[in-house]
Amino acid sequence: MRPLTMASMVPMLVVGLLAATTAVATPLRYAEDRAPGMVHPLFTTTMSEARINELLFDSLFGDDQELRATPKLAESFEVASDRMSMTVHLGDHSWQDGKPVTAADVVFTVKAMSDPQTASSEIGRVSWIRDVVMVDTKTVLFNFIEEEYAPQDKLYFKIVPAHAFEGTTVSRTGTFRTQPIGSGPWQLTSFNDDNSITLSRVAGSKAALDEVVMREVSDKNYQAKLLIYESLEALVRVLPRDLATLQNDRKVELYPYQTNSWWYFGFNQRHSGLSDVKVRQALSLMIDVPSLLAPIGTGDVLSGPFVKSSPFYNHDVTPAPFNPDRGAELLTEAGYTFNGKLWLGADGKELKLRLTTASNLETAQDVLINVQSQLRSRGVTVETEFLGAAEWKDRVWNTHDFDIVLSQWSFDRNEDIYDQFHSKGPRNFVGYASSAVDALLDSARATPDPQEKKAIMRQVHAAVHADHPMVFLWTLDSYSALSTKVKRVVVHPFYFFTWADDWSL
Amino acid sequence: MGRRLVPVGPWRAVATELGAGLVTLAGAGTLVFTLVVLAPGDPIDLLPNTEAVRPVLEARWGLDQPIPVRIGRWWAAALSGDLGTSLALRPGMPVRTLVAPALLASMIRIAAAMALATALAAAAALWARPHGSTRGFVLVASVPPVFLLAHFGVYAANETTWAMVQNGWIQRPDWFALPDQASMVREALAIGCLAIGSGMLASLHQELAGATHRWRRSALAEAIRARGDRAWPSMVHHMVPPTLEAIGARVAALTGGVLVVEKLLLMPGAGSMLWNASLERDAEVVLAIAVAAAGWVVVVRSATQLARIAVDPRLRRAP
Repeated sequence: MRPLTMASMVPMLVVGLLAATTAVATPLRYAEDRAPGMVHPLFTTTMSEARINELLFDSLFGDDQELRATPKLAESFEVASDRMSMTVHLGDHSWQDGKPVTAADVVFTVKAMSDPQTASSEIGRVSWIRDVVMVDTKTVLFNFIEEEYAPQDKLYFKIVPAHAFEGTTVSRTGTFRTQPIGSGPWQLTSFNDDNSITLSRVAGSKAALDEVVMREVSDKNYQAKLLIYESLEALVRVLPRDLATLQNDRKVELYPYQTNSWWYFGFNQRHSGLSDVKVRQALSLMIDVPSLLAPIGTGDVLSGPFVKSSPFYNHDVTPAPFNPDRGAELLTEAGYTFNGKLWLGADGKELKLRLTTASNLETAQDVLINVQSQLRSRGVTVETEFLGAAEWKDRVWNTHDFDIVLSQWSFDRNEDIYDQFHSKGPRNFVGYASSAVDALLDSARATPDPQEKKAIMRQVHAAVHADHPMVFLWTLDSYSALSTKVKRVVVHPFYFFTWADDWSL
Repeated sequence: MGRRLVPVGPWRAVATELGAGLVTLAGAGTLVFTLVVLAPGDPIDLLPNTEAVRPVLEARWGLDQPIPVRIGRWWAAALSGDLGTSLALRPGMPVRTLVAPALLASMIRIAAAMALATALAAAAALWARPHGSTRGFVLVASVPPVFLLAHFGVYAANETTWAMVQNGWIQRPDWFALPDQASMVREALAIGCLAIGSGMLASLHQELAGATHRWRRSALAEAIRARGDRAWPSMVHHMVPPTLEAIGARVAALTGGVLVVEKLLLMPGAGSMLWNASLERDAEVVLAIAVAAAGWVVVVRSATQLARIAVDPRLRRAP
C-alpha cells in the first residue's frame, strides 16, 4: 500500500480507536469569543461580561418580553409629582449566600458606582442620580439631578451586596471578581482551566436549567460548527455566512431579534478635504450601499442615526441614492478635478483616503474590500487598515488619526445619540459640529415629554442626514441559534439571557 | 541546518551559550515590554469610559511612569519572585499564578512535540537504507505549515466522527468535537502538528539521515560489519550528539509554533495567553511569558550542549 493511501486512513483509524462511549446529560453550553476577564457588575466592559452578569445578578427593574420596564428586585415604586425623586419598595429577595437583599445594598451599589476612586465602567448609569437614601430596609429614595419622566427605565444596573465589600471604593482586583455573590437565578460554580465558566442553579430559584456553561470559542468559524455537532446548545449571534447552514439543520432553531445597532462610515471632519460637506456628500453618492450589504447579510438601509423601528426614525428622510455622476459634479464643485483616472485636489495631489475599521467587527473585511473597489472605480483611492481594540481606541478616539472609519454604534432602549453627535459629545470622534443639532440635542435631553422628544429627535435625524458627517449604512438582521433541545426560548435583543429562567432542556 | 560544534573549548561553548542566553533573556524582555507599551493603546483604552477613569487608573497601575522606570521596577520585582499583577487579562490576578500553569502546559507540549519529531525523524532515517528513500514522503508530510495541518486535522477528525455518529456506527466520543473539548485527542493533534508541520520533521530528518549516512560510511561501521558484530548500538550512540544538536537548534522554532497551535486549537497555554495579553496590552503578562519563553530556550539549548559533551568523549578532550 502506498504511503499516502495509508496516511489517508489514519484519521479513520484514530477516530475509531478513540471513540469512547459516553453519553451524559449536558448543561446549556453557549459560546463567547472571549471569556470574561472578571465577573463584576461594577466593572463590566464587554458584552460577554454583561451576559454572564445577566445570569448572576438582578437589577431593580428589567425588561419584560414587550421590552417595557418591569420590577425585578423592586416590588413597586412611586415617582414624585415634581419628577425629581422616586421611592422604590423592594420585594423579598436573597443573595446567593442566604442574606436578604436590602435597601442598603441599593444605596451601596449607587455610591460605589459613583465613587471616582472605584473607577467603575458603569458610572454613567448613575450619573443622573443626585443622591440615594435608605428609608427603611426595604425602601429606597432616589433624588434626581433633573426631572425624570420614566426613571425606572434607567434603573437597570445590577445591584451588588454591600456586605461583600468594605467601603464604597471598590477595587477591580478584589476577590469579588472571581467569587461573586449575586441575587440572580444562577451562581458561579467555577472558573475552569480552559477559560470556561460554570454556573449552577441557585436552590429555590425558579430557573429550569440546572447548569449553564460559558465556553470560550475564540474562532468564530468554529462556533456554528460546534452547535451543529451538538457541542454547544446556544450561539448568541450567528454570522450571516452561517445562517443558511444552521437554517437547514433540523436540530437548530434560529431566533431573529431586533437590535438598536447601526453601521456607518464616519468622516473625520478634522481632515482638510472631508471638512467640506460637498466632498462628504459626493463620497456618499459614490457608494452603492445595498450592494455592500448584500454579501454580508440582510437588513434595513438607513438614512439617519436610528434604526427603522425606532420612534425617532424620520421616515420622511430617504437614504442617499447611489448616484456617482452627481457625486462627480459635487467633487468638481468642491475644487477637485478628474484626470480621467483619478480625482486630484487643488494642490494636484490625488484624493486618497484611509479607511479604518476595528479588526473585531464581523464581516467588515467584505464591506471594506467592496467599498474600496467602488470608490476606486470612481477615481478615489482608498487604503484600508484593521486595528485591534486598544489601537482603535487610541488612534480613532484619542488622537483622531483616521480619514474614514467603518464601525457600528449600539444603543440601549433610550437611543441617546448625544454622545455621538453633540459637538461636546465624548464619542463624537468624527468631529461633527452643528450648532443647530447641538441645540436640538440639548432640548431633547431637557424635555420630559416623550412626544416632544420624539419630534425633536426626528428633526435631529433630518439635520444630521443633511450634514453628512457619516454615511448611514444599515441595521443588520440579527439571529441567535439554539439547539431544539432548549425549550421555551425567548432571547433578549441586548442581554440575551434576560428571560433565561424560563428556558429548559 | 544545525550548527556544527567545533570540538574546542566545550565548557567555554556552554558558558558562551549561557551568557548569550542571559543577554537574550534581558534583551527579549526589555524589547517585548517596550513594544507592548509603545503600541498604540493601553489597558485603560479598553474600558468603556476611558476618559473618566484614566486619571485614577493610570496612577494606580503605574502607567504614568516612563518606560525605563516601569521596566526597571518590573525587573527588580521579578528578581525577588514578584511578576506583578494582571491588569486586563485577569484583572487582579498575580501574574505568576496566571502564567505558571500555562507555561507548564506549553512546555510539556513543546517537549512532547520535540520527542515525537525526533522519534519520527530517526525512524525514517533508519528505515531509509533497507526500504528505500523516505525523504520524499517526509518532505511532503512536513511541508504544510502548522496552522494548515491543525485546521485539516480538526476538520478531518470532526467530519469523520460526526458522520460515524450520525450513521450509528459509534457513540459520540467524549473528546468530540474538536477543538472545543479539552482531551488527549486535542493534545495529540497539537503535538503532532508541531512535530511535523512547517518543515520541522523534514529538517530533523535531513540531519539525522545525514548522520546515519556518515556513520554507515565510516571506518568504524566497516570494522563492526567486518567483525560481524551488531551495528545498531554503535549507530544509535553516534546519532545522539547530532540529535541533541538538532533539538537545541529547533527549540526556538517550536516555541514560536506553539503560539499558533494553541490559538488555533483553543488550548489554554502560554501561547494563547501571550496572544490575548498582547491584544489587551497587559504588559506584565506579556513580559512574564516572553522572559519565561526566552529562558526556556536558553535552558534547553544549554542542556543539549551539556548532554552532547557528556555523550561525546571527543568534545570533552577538546582543548
